[in-house]
Amino acid sequence: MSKFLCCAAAVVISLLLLPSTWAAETLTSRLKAVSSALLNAEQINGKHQIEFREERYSELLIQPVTFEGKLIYDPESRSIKKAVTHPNVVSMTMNDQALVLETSEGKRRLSLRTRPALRAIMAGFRALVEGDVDALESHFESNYQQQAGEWRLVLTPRANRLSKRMKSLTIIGQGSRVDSIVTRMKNGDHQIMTLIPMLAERK
Amino acid sequence: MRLPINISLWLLFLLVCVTILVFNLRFSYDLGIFLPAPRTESQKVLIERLGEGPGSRFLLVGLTGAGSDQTETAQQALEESGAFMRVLSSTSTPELSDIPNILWRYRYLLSDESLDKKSLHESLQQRASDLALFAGEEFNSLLGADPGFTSIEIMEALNPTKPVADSWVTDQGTALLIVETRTPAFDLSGQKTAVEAIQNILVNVQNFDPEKIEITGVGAFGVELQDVIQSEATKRSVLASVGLALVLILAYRRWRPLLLAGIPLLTAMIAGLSAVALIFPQVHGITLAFGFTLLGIAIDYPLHLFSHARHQSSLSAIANIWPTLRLGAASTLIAYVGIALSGAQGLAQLGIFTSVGIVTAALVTRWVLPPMMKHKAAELRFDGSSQLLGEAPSLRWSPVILMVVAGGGLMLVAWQNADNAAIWNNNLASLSPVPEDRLSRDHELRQLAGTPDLRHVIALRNSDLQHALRETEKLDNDLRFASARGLVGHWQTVTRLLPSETSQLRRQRKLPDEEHLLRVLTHALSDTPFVLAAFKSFRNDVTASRTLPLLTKEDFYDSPLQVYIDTHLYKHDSEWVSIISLYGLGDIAAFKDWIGDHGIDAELVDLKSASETLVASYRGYTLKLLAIALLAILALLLWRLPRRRALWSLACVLSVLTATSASVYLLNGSLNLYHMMALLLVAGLGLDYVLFMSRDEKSVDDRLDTRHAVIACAVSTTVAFGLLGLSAIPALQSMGSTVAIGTVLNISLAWFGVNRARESFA
Repeated sequence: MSKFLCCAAAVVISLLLLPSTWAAETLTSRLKAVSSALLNAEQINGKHQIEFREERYSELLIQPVTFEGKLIYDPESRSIKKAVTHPNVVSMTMNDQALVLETSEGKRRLSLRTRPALRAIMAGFRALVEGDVDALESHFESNYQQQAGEWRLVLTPRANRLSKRMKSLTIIGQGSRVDSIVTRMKNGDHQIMTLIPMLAERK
Repeated sequence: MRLPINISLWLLFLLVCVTILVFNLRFSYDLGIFLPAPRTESQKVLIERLGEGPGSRFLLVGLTGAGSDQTETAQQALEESGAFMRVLSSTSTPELSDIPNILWRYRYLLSDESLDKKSLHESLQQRASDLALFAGEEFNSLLGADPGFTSIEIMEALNPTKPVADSWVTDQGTALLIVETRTPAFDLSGQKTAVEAIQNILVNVQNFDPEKIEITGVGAFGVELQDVIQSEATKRSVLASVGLALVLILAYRRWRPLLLAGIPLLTAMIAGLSAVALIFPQVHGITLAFGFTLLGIAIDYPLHLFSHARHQSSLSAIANIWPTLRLGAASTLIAYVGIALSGAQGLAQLGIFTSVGIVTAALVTRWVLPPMMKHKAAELRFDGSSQLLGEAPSLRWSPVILMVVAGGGLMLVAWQNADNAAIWNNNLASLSPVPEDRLSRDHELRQLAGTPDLRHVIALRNSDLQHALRETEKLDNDLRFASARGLVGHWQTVTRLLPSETSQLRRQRKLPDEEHLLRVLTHALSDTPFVLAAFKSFRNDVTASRTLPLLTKEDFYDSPLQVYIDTHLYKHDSEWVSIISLYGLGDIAAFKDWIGDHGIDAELVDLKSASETLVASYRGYTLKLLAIALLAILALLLWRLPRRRALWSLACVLSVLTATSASVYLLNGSLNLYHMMALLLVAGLGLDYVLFMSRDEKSVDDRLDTRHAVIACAVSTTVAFGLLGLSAIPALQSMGSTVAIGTVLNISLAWFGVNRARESFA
């Protein structure tokens, strides 16, 4: 069951990139900026939060499905949560060891230990938080492109278990802002998550 | 030199015994054979399923102070070793790739999920919201073939743990992993390999502090017991031998008696062991440990001979004491045959071992030992052998009455002080040498992980498999009402995987045909984001399910699900027994009533109370045997002795039994089966002492020799059993202390009960 989660979890990690600045030229400095920006990000009750809207494209679907919700990062437990509020309330919380799914059918805890693909994503997440280029590069191949005002960081998984399922993860932004994250699966499915910084919205 | 015929025969006998041992001796450490034969339905389940019940293959591994990282590393290392069926943690949930083929193929015959428009529509809506969390090819193919997630539901219902808490960490910070072994709990060699593998992996590979690893569970306790028996048996026999040697050297001031005393004892042990090895396929470790101890009485025989040979030749000494010795041995034999008939294979082994041993020891003392004794009577003879008048010894009744009164009074006082605590302890645990704190720890860890109740199961019997399965299904369905009343949390039945043919056929007939399914699916898809084309596999699988041959028990052979089937369904004596494992039981009495009122021939089996009634009925049976044995002994005594002496002898034995029971009750709280076995030995020893002390002596020397012998016997027995009473094994402790106390009382009564100033009366 967990294998389906890879993609979704990959999207979740991009939360970290939210308030980042991509002014610096090298990957190292960009990551450092992500990391420090993250720690200074908007907090509610000590947790970093941001709203999102996600469109899901799949050969299974007549038309794309849209979800809305919040991404929440708790620096204390180092856990990230994708809380979907529309059309149905479901959520997924991931920390070092486990992933907790909550749906209308109940709560389910899954170990990350037996799910290396998910684990690779968590490792990538940690690399981003810590600004650790080596760790990030050990899991993903990165390619940075800039065109006019828009930039893209394309991450391609290295580990076989993950690359068997996921094709790429693309983070798209303008200036110091992350606008969207595009996840492409090997089977052609993809999803586009658009981030709506709450701070900006409230202003 | 030509050997005397009796020594040659003895050597030949030894050779035969050793040959038997070489070819037939196999050891086992299965505790089950120490349980008596079952008599009720519950007891049957107890004995049949000992070590095969739900969750009995679980070894609970507690890691004190381990963080979640360490616990996880440990789990991974254990899993990767491949030595175990599986390793469970709080986050263990079935993987899609783990769904066995047989379950996937038969999913629509294993579930009552209806494939109508409404329920399909609901499932599809649920899957639409799952899209927010799941992605990837596997999800797509599962969705396309099993939109109701039927296979996942079936799989999850088979999970052997129903945790109450999110994490498996105790309040004291002990993290828990559950290792399911490949071998059943009673296979102690397999369990030992598993326990050692866990320790080896965690300590040597993962560098865990061995002090911080604890392993509990049925199998682990069995392994510990095996180790304890082996080390205790060795340690105690060495200690007892040293104690005996000291007593003998003190008594005879020579080395030779020490060596000779060993001959009847060793021959007895070899003969007893050969008999057991010949009769039973395996000799239990406890038979050996206890049997060697109970044979301690065999050392008394050569001691009588040695003491009497101080003033006469060994041949005349044995002729002199043989009638008394033979009578004592015959009485002891009656008691030991009683143990052999007590109904459990383990105790039968013990009884046969000691019975054969006693006969052998007596015969060897009579025929083999005297010719081997070199010393001449003249050398040892000392002056002052005045003749005694041939008058029967005068026997006192007052010490006997005193002992009965004291014993009875003591018992009454102890009973009052202990708030009328039961005199008999029926708890099986009191027979098991596993320390109480280890058992309660096991219980605590099991509660944390939500493992099935080890104590209660529902058993449903029928000679027809399909009938048993149908009744199980009915009960499975009705248990929901019991659950609603809070009587039970969860339960697992064999029919989750092996429904009755009736149910399979009903589900098969209910499955829509291709055309109908297409219509239903098309309707159900309205209002959902999915395309019809995505569900081609679903349509194919449902259609295929309509014509699948019905699932049978045999289809699960060699699949990972076989253990589940075997745990919940077995055949015994042409009867099928369906076992329903239970989780989170509430009010047991109410639940028992509920099942009783249910109208199905099912029984809530309380394995603990079954074991207790088993022990109680066992005890009743043994008490009857004991009464019969006493009558047999009385008959024997009346036949061989004057009536007064026979009655007095038996009265002595009974009064010592009363006083010993009272003392043990005072010290111990209540008496268990081992105490009872020990009392049997006390009776045998006591009889031996009173018979010797009250015999008609020929001379003052003879009398001195008798006293010397009886004192030597009593001291050696008290020392040997006293050492045994210090053992950490509850059973050894019970037996040792009882025999030591009984021996002290025996010798006191034998000493003071016979009038010492008999000469003056003459």
